[in-house]
Amino acid sequence: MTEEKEQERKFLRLLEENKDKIMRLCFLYGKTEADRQDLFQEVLLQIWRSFPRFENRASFSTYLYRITLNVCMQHCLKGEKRRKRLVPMNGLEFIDMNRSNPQVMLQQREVLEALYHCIMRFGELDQSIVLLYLEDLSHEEIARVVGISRSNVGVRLHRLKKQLFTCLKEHRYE
Amino acid sequence: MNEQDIKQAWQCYPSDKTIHIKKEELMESITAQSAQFNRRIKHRDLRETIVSLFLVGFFGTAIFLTPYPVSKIGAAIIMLSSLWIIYKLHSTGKTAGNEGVEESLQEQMKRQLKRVEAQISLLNRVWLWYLLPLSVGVLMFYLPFPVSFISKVMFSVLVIILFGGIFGLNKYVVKKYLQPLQRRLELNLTQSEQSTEQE
Repeated sequence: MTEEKEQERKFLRLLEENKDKIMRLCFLYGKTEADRQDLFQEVLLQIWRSFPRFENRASFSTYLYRITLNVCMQHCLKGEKRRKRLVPMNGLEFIDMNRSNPQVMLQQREVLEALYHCIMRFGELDQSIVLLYLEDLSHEEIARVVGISRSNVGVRLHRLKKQLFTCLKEHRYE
Repeated sequence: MNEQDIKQAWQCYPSDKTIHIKKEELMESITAQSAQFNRRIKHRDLRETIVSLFLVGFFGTAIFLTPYPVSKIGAAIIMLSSLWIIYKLHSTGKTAGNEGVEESLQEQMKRQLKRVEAQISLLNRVWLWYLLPLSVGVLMFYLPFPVSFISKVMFSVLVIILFGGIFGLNKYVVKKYLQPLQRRLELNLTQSEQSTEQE
């Protein structure tokens, strides 16, 4: 197997394992369905383009979150008018799933909408810290992704969690 | 709701969507888009080089062909300022599209802030490095030609309106897009530095 094929195989395996994580973050930052799919595509493209530089790194997760959040933040900072629509990639299908219990789904969606609303009140770096916390990353891992010290993550997360729960209470999710 | 409930709700999201990947098609698409990305950057650089070569060639020839000394100076100014403009655009705020995308978020923000500041400074001084030399060059090149006084006045007014418009447009971009972006980036970075000091 050629080196290029081996790299493709590795990329696709890691993508399959991590696509949900990428999707969650892209779906938060994208305002419309098209926006979200564009973001997802852009993240894939950027991961692939910098993939040769990843080769010798220890944690794919840190690398993945860094790229995803950097792309998402740049997308937000650009503003709607300055964004360009991407040509849809072949081989990528976003499928709507029919769930058996619409009531549960509705409840879940309400909780998530409240969560989104609260997260979006924070500044960009704080948003990232909260999202990584929700992804269940340790303080050490969050520090590596964001680029601040572990103790700084602890201090900020303590404050952010308080604000998050206060905000959720306002939305009657106690 | 406790912490665990919130994390669980987040990690279930989006429960009504899934992504299906067709590996070979996707790989073809990604490599094609990546190549297109590189091509776009090459074309952008090529376009600028062609424009600069054209301007240098055109006005370089005009220096020798025009009989008027003031026009010769004007052509030389346009030629030199075209090269200077290309150099300035090339050295400031230009990216290869994905620099530092795998850096930490804070490093990426610092990089972005630096780029935005450079762009703001470039656009705020656009009259100095772009508009003034070019407009002076164009006027000096044209005005000695034996045309009617009215056409000289009309040409001068047109140059002033055109360059004034470019100046206004640059100011608008700075005010509308770049300064708000600069403030957001600074705010994020200040907040993260304040937290470090509080530790």
